[in-house]
Amino acid sequence: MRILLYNLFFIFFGIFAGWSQSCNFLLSGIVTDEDSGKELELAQIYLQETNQGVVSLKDGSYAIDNICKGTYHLIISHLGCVTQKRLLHIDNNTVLNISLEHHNNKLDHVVVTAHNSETLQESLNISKEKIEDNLNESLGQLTEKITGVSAFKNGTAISKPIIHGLYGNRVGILNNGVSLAGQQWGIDHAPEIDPQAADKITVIKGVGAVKYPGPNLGGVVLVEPSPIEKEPHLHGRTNFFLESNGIGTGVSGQLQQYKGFLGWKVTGTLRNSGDRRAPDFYLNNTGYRQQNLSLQLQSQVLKRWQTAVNVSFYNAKIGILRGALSTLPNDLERVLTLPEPQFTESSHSFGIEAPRQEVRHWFGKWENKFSIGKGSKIKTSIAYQFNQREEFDNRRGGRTDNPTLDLEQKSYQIDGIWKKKWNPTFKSEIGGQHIYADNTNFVTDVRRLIPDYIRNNYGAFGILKVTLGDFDTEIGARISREKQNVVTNRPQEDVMRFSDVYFNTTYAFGLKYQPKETAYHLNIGYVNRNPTIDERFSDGVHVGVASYERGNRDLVSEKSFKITTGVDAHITESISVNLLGYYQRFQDYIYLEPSGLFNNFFLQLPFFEYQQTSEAIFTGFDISLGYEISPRWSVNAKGSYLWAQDESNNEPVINAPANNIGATIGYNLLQPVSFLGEKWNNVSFKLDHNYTFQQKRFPTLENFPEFPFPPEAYYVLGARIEGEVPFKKSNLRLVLRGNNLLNNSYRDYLNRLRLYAADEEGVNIVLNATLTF
Amino acid sequence: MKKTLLLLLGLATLFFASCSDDDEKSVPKNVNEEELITNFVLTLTEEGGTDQVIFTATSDQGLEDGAVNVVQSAPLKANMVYFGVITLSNTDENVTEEIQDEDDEHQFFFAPTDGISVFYTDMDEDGNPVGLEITISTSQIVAPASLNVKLVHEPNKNTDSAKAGILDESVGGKTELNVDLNITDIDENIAI
Repeated sequence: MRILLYNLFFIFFGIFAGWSQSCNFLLSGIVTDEDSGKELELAQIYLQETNQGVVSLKDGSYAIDNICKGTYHLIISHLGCVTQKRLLHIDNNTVLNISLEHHNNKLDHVVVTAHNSETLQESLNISKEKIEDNLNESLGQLTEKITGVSAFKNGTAISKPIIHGLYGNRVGILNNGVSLAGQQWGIDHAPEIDPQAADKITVIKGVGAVKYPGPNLGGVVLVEPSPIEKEPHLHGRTNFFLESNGIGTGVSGQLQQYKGFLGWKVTGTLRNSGDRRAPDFYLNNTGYRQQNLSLQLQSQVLKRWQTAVNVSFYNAKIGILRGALSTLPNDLERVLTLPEPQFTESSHSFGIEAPRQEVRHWFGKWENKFSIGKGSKIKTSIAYQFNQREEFDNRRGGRTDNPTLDLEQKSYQIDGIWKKKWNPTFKSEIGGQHIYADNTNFVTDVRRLIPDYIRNNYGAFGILKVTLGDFDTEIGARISREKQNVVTNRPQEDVMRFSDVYFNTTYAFGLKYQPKETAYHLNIGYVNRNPTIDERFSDGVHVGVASYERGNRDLVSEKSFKITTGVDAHITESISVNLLGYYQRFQDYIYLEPSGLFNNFFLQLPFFEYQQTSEAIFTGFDISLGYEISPRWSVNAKGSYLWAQDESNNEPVINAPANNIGATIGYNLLQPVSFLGEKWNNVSFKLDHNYTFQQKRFPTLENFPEFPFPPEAYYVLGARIEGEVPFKKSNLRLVLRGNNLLNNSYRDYLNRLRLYAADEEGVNIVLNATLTF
Repeated sequence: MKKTLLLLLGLATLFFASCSDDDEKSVPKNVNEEELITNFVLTLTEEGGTDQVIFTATSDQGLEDGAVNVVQSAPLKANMVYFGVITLSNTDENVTEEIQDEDDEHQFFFAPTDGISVFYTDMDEDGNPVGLEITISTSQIVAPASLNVKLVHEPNKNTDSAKAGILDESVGGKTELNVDLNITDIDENIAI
């Protein structure tokens, strides 16, 4: 039946084309570089069905004539650019302007400066190609590549992004526009997101993204799929990786089609790893298994009404370093100075025993967009998330198979946004959200780390954008009301109920001045953030971080003011600079302080308590430099600097990421090369140097003098070779990468398992292949 | 303009109609911390006799931080050999049985003051000591005396230290019980 339909489809088109006999149409346009806006010479434009091809001229223009009426695949390629494939219906003379994205961005080979039309906040993004090339990496590992972003780690498989020194509840993670639920459980819970289902990951480094729910004092990470292209043919990609460290493997596939009234896209990912290895020993029990599936549906119901449905499922089992749960009483100091973790074994294993986390996350969203004329658009959506989290520990009496933490969270989010373009100068946007989360513990016969609660949040925002000549400005505000109903029932305590209401406000101002290629930014924002449930009510063992954490019921809302200013400059044709400076001041800054040892029946654990300091300052800068020495050689350098100070106690803030610098040297073979009997395109080599300084600014911990000082500085060398080869009618892209090639032993300040003598991973060789069809 | 107003009204309705925010969670079930060890009993029986000295330590919070109240039933005689048996429990569980079932994953470690010696008289399936049954010699006992008892889960029982009953860094594991028995009552008038 299906084949018949296909045949009919083609016969129909064939007859149609035959009838019309109008083979005199002209396709023309200009090819430009997406980053610089410059016209691109020598781009190849090729009509697949007719084998007609031309090359763009010096002014970027191209023209193909004598095209018959019909439907065509147009392939646009240019040396060093991402090849584009477009579907075109030609029934008239057509003008198509094309902008191509560079593979080898001058600033950074992973990250490109974003052209985020949603906000004037400084933002950077990771492209689909880079996401596909790094199938072995999690969201936290991907965002870590961005200048000014680091990762709060809990071993090798769990990491959360840190933006300008801020993390956890201060960095909103939005999956497909919806606040990722379950992130208010503490910092050891990795985001339940499969990056492979995303087409773009954007990091907004400012406080003023008022459009997104949650008081995001640190910034926002947006994980977004793109709309399905209106392409009736089945397209997709499959990628695969194999890595030496942990003997990790993974495969991901994506298929999409837009046929008739319905577009669909399915993405599935499997990732596996056994024990990871530090240069000198195995990190026992650090393997993981992950399975993800997501489905995206899209339909243009009416001319002015578009509807979309997204459904996804995430399932992960993550091992936590075996040695991370054992200390001897009065002997923590010894454990803190061990040369290798306890229980280290001399062999690699794929097994995942306790301690471990098992997480399942279901996500569903229905979105509607209406164009109601006169530049007005309305977007509404409703989303539901269901999260199950179980954590296991080594227990006595055969209880190891029973979780010590068993949480379930149901949440939904309703959104409504109205966008209006009043005239070329003024644009406005207003909207609101309601977020509801219901968190329940199941009895595990272990003290509940996070209590049962219901959280209700109503928020509304407004943004006004003004464009005047080379100036773009925006002002925005958000208000929200959060109600937290908490009930605790702890051993040797009465049942207690707490009900608190908080009002949060965010004000933001943004200015961008772009006279030519160079853009200047200024952003000023003020945010008020209520303390979250984990900050106020945590009380128990956090298996994931091998520590006892206790909240502080007396915490009050945090207030913060941040100013960022930046410049994206193309100094000459071949030199570009991206500089961003920031200054952020806090009132009532909330932090987790190591406060001594906690004796509990499990063991003696480091004890962490939420504290608040009346004044804190975070200030620093991020810089990236790009220099194209010649068409073949390029150099990129980057660095970030942060100074974080607790002003009221006159000492450094704990857990401020260490400063770091890095440089990449790249060499491009401009010509296709023959290798293994195939012609390889876009072949390049890169050498990556990264140096992280020691964080010497560390507070005096009066209650916990044994807590180890931040580890020493370290240098990590990486290298990669990549290239593309036509494979049947598809494109095969191969990347061979080496991380920590010198196999240096080092520890990272912000990996909480460093307390248990966990070194970072040693050398890792990764082969990643992506087949796009 | 009318249209816009209507729209806004629609949005607002959608937004606030969602639900009331007075939902309260029902009271969660009590947590019965099963793995907590709340009762520790060391029963010492004289060699060749029936006289017993019983040390009892109890705490609802669990016996893990050493400093707990200890009750001693009778004076401990100097120059005596005792056979000792340890029993552990909490409100619902017989913890001793759990340890017997997993004796290859557990070991007691004893740290007495000078003049007291402790020997293991039981072993697990691998022939390594456990410590639920011990022998104590009080030949050189001097007041004030004390005996520290630790129960370690998942120690490395194959190390020389563990076999000798010495808790050091080669042994590792996690401590589930830590009791300081202050031997307050000593009968030193026993002739050899």
